[in-house]
Amino acid sequence: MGEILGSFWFTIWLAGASTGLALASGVTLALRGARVMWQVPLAMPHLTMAVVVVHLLAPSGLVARMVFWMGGIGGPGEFPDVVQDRWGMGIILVYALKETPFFALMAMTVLRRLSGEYGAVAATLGAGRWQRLRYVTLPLLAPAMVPAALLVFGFVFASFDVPFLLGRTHPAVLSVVAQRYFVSDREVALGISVGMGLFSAGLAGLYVRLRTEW
Amino acid sequence: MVRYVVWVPVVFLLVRSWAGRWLWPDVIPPEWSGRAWGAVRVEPVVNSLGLAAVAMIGAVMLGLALAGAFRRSAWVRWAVLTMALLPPLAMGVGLHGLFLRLGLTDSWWGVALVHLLPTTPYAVMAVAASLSRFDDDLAAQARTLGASGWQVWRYVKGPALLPGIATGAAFAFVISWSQYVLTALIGGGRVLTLPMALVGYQKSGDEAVAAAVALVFLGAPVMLSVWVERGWE
Amino acid sequence: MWTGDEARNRYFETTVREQVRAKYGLELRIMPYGHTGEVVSKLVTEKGAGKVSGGTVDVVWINGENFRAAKRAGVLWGPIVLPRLYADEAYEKDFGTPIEGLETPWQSAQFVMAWDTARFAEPPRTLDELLAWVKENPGRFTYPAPPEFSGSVFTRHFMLAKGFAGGLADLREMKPYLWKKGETYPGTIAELDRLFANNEIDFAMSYGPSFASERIARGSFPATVRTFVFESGTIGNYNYLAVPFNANDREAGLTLIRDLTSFERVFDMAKTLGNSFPQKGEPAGLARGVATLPLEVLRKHFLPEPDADELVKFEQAWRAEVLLKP
Repeated sequence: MGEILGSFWFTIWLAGASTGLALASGVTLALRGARVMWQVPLAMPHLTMAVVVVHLLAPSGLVARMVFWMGGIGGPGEFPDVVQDRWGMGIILVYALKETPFFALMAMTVLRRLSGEYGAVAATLGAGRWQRLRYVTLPLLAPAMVPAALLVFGFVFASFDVPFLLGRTHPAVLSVVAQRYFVSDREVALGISVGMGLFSAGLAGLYVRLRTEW
Repeated sequence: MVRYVVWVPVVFLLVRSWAGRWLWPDVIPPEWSGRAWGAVRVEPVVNSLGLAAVAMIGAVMLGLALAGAFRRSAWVRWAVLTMALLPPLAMGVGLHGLFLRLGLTDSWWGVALVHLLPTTPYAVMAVAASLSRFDDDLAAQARTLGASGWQVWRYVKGPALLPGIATGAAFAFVISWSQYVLTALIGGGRVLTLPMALVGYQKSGDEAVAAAVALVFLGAPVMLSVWVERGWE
Repeated sequence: MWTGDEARNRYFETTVREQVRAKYGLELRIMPYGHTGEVVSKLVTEKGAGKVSGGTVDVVWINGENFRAAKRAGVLWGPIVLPRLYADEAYEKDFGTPIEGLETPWQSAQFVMAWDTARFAEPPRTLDELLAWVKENPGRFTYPAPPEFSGSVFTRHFMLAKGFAGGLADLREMKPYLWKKGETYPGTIAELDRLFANNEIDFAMSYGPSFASERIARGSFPATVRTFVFESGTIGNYNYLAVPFNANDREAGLTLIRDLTSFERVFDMAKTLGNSFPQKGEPAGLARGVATLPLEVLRKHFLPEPDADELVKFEQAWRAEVLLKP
């Protein structure tokens, strides 16, 4: 039971960190007006991204080898744990990389629809760039971005694929723990599934409340 | 700078799939080999394509049917959103017993059926979104000009819904294409799809083939999204 | 079939499939599993749901605790009366469970460890020496997490040598000096191989005595790798083929089993994959791999598996006492 509770908090952590990171990066990129061919990361399946992250960032992966070649480390053991570490950083990285374009595109769409009026008015009233950001731009973005963040949070919380490929034996996300029990003790697996279902229903309810235009 | 970063994964996978033995500490592959590409099998590609196509059609039809209710009722919205957020693992575990009794496990059509669950909600939302942008006045005007119900649909409402249908179809395709644990649970190892092949190769240590499969796996969604983007402009 | 080994998968997918099609007109479908326990669980579920025919699996590769679970649940068909390559009383008990015709012997396995002579000349030869080595070289050793087969049998050596509690104590003592401080373990033997080949750890291990030679030939391991066994011996076992109770095509299943247990097939597998011949020595004409230990050495250091229920208890205790306790 303790294992399941620990897994629940770990999953929440992963979902929150990924969503937060992606949201911050996505909005920043949108505000800077980055022009990129977003189709590639957006359409890239999560598993493909995970495979790339493993091959690049594992202790004996390509980046580690480059650092070794440059004399930065003495062996694979000295490369910092980015993949398969106890905080799930590899998993967070994959989801952050994948969801940043999603938030960036959404923010760009919203920003395009807004005329520059509000910002211009604030400027004439003496507001600096930071104040305009904080009191004008971000609040205008919020109605679209917050529900979207909720969706992404729910998605990462529910995911199996990437943690299965990149995660540690322990701690493991709820989906992975449930899958292990599916083979050994089906009742427990069903219990976890129902619990996750209720959590999803809760998130869904929140989302429906928060979104103002349908 | 950002615009080039986006291509790094693709370039890397290409190199990895054509590399032969590539171990620590080599930064550049010491040998090249086409073995990995020779090992990629057709079966998972065909399965993934077929399942995604069926999911696309099914989800869009359900999307058209449910979009109206979605817009009108908050309860329907809640149900659809819950479905969208429900973990595929939970879906698979929950439905396995039922599907087993109905003889739908270990079968292609069983998997196709279960793929409708994660895909339909997004199709519903996409069609509903284009419905909301549709101006009912236009339909009313057409009718005063003498158009029949069928003509209104064909010339006014239908075309207005097309973007939503296209988006919903694209979502459904990509979501079905990416399913792993749901296919594994209901398909029981009998229905082999690309993500299953990918996880299999990566876990059994054959990184070159995993890279090749990852590229093939990447191909369809990217082509689809580029095509949809073009359609937009 | 357990599909954790790439070379074996390829052999079955190409050679065996073509020959089975040519000789008997049968289509071979391999159902991949990461762990045989999954197949048993599936059969038990199917039996519970009343699926007594038209099952999806016709032949299953099985032994040990999975066989015991399958036998207890009554999901295997028998008796299988097929000619055996060798007669040996030892076949009749599978990890202590009488087989009673519910499975037929196929191959043998014996646990070996491997090290790279290019990195250091001599490996530790006893369990205590290994423990000391790990402490002196933190982060350079690990094993796959039980219930993965090879990791599980590795831990069983400690159980056999020091008893249930003593074995767990040793493994706990080892934990902080392991790769990633023993907080996580490779999930598959393939990951362990990769860590070894990429110089992240210094030992590999396997149930197949010829695994190092295979990998050297494949180019996955450097040619300087050699295998060794503990002075006190290493655990070995037989593995079997069985037919599920609800097999769709029992005749085809038995035909396949007859083919797989035939001399020609076993010899071919030994030649191609370097499998251990099922005891009683090997026929002439079979080259022993460069990193494979001679048969007499293996036989002298052979330890039988403990009872299947003990095995399961130890695996669970490992999880609770070694993995989960900080």
